[in-house]
Amino acid sequence: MKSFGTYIIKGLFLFCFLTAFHGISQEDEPEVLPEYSKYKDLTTKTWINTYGNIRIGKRLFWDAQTHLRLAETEDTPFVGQVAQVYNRHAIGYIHSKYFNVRLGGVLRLNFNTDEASTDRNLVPEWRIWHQYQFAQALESMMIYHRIRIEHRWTQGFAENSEYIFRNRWRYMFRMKIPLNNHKLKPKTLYVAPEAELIMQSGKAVVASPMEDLRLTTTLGYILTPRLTVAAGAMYSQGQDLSNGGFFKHSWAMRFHVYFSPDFRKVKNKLPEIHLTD
Amino acid sequence: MIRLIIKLLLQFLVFAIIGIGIPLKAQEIQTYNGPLQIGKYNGKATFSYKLVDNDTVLHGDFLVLRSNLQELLQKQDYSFQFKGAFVDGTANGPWKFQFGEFNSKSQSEVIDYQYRVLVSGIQKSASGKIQMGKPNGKWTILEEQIEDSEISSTLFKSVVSFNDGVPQQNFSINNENYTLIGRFLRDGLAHDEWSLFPINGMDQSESWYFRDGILQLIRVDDDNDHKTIKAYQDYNGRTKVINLDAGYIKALEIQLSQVDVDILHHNSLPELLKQNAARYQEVDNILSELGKSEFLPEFKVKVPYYPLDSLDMLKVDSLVSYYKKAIELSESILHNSQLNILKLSDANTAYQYNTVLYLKESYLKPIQEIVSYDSLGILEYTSRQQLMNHVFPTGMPKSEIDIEMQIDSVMSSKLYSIPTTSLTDPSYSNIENLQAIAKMGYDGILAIADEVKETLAQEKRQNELANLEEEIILQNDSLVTFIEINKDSIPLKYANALKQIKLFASTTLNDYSKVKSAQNRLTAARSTVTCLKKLNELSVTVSKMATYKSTIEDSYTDRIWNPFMATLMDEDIKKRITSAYTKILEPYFLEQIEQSLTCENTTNLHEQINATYHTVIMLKDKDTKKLERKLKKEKEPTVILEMLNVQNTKQ
Repeated sequence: MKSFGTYIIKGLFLFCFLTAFHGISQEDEPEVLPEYSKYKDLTTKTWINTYGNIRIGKRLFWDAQTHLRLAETEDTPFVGQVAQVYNRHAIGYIHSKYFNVRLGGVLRLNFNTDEASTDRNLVPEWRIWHQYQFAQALESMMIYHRIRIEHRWTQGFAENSEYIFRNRWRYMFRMKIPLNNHKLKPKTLYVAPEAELIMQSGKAVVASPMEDLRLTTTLGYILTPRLTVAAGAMYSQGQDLSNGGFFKHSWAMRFHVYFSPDFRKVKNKLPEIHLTD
Repeated sequence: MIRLIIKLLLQFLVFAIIGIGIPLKAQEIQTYNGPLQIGKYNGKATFSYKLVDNDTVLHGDFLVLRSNLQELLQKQDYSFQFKGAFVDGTANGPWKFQFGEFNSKSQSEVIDYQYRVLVSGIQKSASGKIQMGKPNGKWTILEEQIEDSEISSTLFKSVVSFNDGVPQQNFSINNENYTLIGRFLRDGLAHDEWSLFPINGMDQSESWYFRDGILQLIRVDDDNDHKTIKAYQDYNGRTKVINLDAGYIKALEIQLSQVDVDILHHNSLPELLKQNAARYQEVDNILSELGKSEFLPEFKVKVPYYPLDSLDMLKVDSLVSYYKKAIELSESILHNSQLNILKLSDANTAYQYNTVLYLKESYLKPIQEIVSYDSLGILEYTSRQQLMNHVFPTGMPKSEIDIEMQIDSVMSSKLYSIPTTSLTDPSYSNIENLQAIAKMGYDGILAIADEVKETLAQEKRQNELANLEEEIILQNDSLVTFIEINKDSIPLKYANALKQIKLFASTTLNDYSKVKSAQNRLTAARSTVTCLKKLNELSVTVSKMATYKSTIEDSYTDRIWNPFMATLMDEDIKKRITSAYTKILEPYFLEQIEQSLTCENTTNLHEQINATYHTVIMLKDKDTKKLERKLKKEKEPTVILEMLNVQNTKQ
């Protein structure tokens, strides 16, 4: 089983390298950079995310995430109106307690929040994504390194606009620090600071490789081993795709529900449920 | 059509090949290399075998051995090595068995670049050929004392030649004290002179002369004298072939005068044969574990045979049963301490006591011999008349006799006549007379037992009471000690229950001490003992309750993988069941103990606590959805207990 797992991981790495280096050639396009970098207006967002992690085998699981993202508009300040609905799915493989990978697709529905726009109201965005997460224990806390690579096809709201292909390179560092217990276990309140850098590449990316830098801190509570809730705030900033001299920045409130049901029959669960320990 | 036939033929061919192939594969000889347990011997084995009907059948070379240097150096090691071969599961070919028990004083010497550890102990071995499970050819059995890896003395040695399991020609057996040399006929019967002489040379030697298995005479020689004891020399009636064992010697002794019996070495000849047989038995046990075996040497002799018919057999059986009943009664009378005291002052008691003594000596003692011959199965190997002469050398006991008594050094006597319907009569058969004597002895003792019954019963009661009171103290002490030892090492709620049990035990004791009348006291003592025993059991159970609870909680916890934290977490499963135990049943049990403990409900509580624990543990892996639903609403402990039991009986 171990060697099979290693093959999968090797395969995935190869896949991601091949995809990554394919077609990084860019066309020159006149671009007017400002003399100094400029921040656009600060916006606010609200993210409501659910993370499902459904066990389908001894080492396989189905990652099912649905996110609802609201963005501030003039009519709906602060909380905002629906901007994106995410459907992110993947099949994951638990290699060990400390390493897992997953591969899947995303269908993101982008809503046009520009009230003045006369373009389409709703456009789909497609992604293929894969992720490699390393976990490690440090004293009572856990540290996670997450590498996520996304291949995305986006289009603008304008009628008949073409799909643009871009790659996204994401690295996230996250800690989960238990506050009222010596380790992360049920009935534990924890705080999770995280920092994620999202870089991008592709024909359309000329001078704006840094798409987003997200700094988040959430406070979470583990209700049961299968259910956790968390809420927090995120500050993010990144270059505007059309002009690398302009930076978007925003504050977001984030609300998360994490659930991991296991519908397998008891006899199938035991003792594989314990993985290798 | 042709194609169809070819197809059918091909199918047949395939089946035929598979059909032949399966038995062929089954006959394949395979080799085993690994641990093997043979009876009490556990060692490393190498052997060939084949599979017949899924059974392992030994076939080919066989070797199993064991020795452990570590154990030898530390304390003592037993080693063994069995080497030989099998054919179709039966031992066949040259075999060697070796057993050793050694210790070492951790002395070693280096010889030729090898460390040699000097051992001392006993080495036993048996070697020879086996032909289809039976000894064949010369078998040598040895037991040697080893001192510092050198043979220091031979404790036992036997050399016997066999032909297809039957001892042949000459043999010799010696232990530390005697040597026996003799020979057999082709059919294994003892023949000619068998000599038994002592190793130290100080003692007399014996020569047993057999002809065709029949012992003719025994010549006893010592330094200055020799004597000839006649055995079955003149007998020419029916004979029977039996083993030369202790039974045979006993049957022989019936023939001989007491003087002659005293001259002979007491049973040293059969003792040697017995030691020899035990060693063969040891080998037989090993071979029987591995396959078929008939590895027992049978040293045969012939004895005169006087068969008993079925009626005689029945009479012997009834004689045995009369004897057993009579001896039990006589012992209880003769050992009764009250009667023993009374007989010193009371003439009637002395008369009764002495009568029992007389009956035991004159009636039961001879019958006892008959009973022992019967259990040895040798009643048929002696003529009835000889038997009578042997057990009644001075003639039949009298049924009427003057019993003498001595009270305060005054002698008196009184006529006793056995109250019985049985009679001996010279016209009856000997067996009938023996049965009559057994019955007379029994009737006589029974009559006296009836007369002294009340005295016996009273003593029995007093003894019982004394025993019971001793038991009460023992039980209470053990209870108090147990509680004192355990109360500090368990959580308070259980310790409190234990204290309550202790308190209740002392109340029970107090109640018992208030019982005055003798009759009630016995009943009260019995129930107090029972009650204290149950309280002991209950206190053991209570002391385990903390462990029960934590075991249940542990067992109803699963380690769950939390993918978001990448950690394993404990999850309580089937919470309704665990909380029914921890929140309802356990408090209920403790409350019962603390508030309404009685002698009557002690056992019930003890059993309920244990049964509940085991049921709860068992339910973990069962489908309990229905039960959990029912438990959700239920708060009444007795109803929950019923639910658990219902669940229990259903499965």
